[in-house]
Amino acid sequence: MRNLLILAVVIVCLPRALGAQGVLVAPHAIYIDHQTRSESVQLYNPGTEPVEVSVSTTFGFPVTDSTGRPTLRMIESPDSTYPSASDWIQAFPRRVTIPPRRRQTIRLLARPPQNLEDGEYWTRLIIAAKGGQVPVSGVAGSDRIQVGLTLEVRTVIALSYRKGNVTTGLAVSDLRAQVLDDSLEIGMNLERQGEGAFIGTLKWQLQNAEGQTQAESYVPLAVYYTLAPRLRFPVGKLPAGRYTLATELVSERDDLSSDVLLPIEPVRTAVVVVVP
Amino acid sequence: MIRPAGWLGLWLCTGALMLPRLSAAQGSSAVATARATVVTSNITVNGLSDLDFGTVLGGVATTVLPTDANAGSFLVTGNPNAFITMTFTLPTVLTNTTGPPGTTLPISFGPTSARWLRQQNNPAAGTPFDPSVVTVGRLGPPPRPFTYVWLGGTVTPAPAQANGLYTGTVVLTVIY
Repeated sequence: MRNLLILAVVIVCLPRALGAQGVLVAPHAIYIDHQTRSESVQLYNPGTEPVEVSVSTTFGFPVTDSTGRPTLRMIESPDSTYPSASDWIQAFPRRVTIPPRRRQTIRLLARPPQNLEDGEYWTRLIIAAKGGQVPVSGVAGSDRIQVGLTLEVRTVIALSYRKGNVTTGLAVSDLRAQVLDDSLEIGMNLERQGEGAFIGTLKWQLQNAEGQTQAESYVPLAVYYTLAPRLRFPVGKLPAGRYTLATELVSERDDLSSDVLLPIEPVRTAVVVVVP
Repeated sequence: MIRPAGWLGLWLCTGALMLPRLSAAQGSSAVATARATVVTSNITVNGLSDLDFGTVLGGVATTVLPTDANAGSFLVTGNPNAFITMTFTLPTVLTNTTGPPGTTLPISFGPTSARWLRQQNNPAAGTPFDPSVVTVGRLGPPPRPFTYVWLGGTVTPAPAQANGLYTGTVVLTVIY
């Protein structure tokens, strides 16, 4: 009964997905330690047609482009200076067809080199899902030109492998902010410290000269090397005046257990924002 | 090793993602013991509908706009407010699967052939973008951590284009 209730919740929450082609991937971030060297990913086909799924790995990590937008730098053949686990993380099965509304467990096994140094190693799992051919609309026939494209979706998630004592930290510099129309743009330079990627959250609060909070929000962040994000948040129309933007970077995520996050002391910074 | 509390745990957490007020209690209930992954969240990338040009005429270019009902559409769900990077792999020709072997049909995509929008399935309100360029989107806030993506395009049949069913594949890669 409880299962049925939960299933009903999911169906209500994803009403259109049921007729779609794709897979649910859980969790969306994988952590493997050197002691157990294995983990699993659950896939679920919420659709009404079978889905062909393939699982592969590639090396990549988040960066920001020249405009401060986050993106992923993919490196097909990383050299030895990169902590890549792509060559020694294996998925079983790598290809599978998942029937409608069925799940599939993908086992992940790590076979690291024997002389692997302590540290954190990364790869990205690519889960590709392809449905069957969907009929083209209109009357079928060989006496006309009919055109249709099928969709394939690929989900790319992070996998981290840890050996030994791994730490992380953050150095923050050049915090800046400006109000553009009804948005607040926050920029900063972030540089990871330690051996492991910083996975956490940026929280911010904007206060007026009287110390009253005018706006606040948060955004999940991951810093593998350096990051120079420029983030925009809606704040509404603010009266002219001086404001203080206070930011805090913490090793918390509402979508990940604290067990897998490398802890840091919160990093706090502030800057004055003038609204003309 | 942390093991989710069976498939029920995954379901619980899926529900928790969609209903954030439940997430704290249910997320923690999915944790059994100590080590690694807790299934507190997930990501789903779904192709909702294919890009369907239907029947076209030889010599007449046909465009499907991303706002059209027969545009290709995708739905991404995951952690509220999370950034996602979207990359399309697009064909330049479609292959005739029922007619003369080797017959192809050109297809193209313009700088506004795609749109994306947080939370709502409403392409008219979506942000246009070039599907041939890497694009950063963002999932919606609770309780609708969704991003919808729509894709149109243009096919250009030659006047003497062979009849048949022309197909190809569009790949959307979502980096989480």
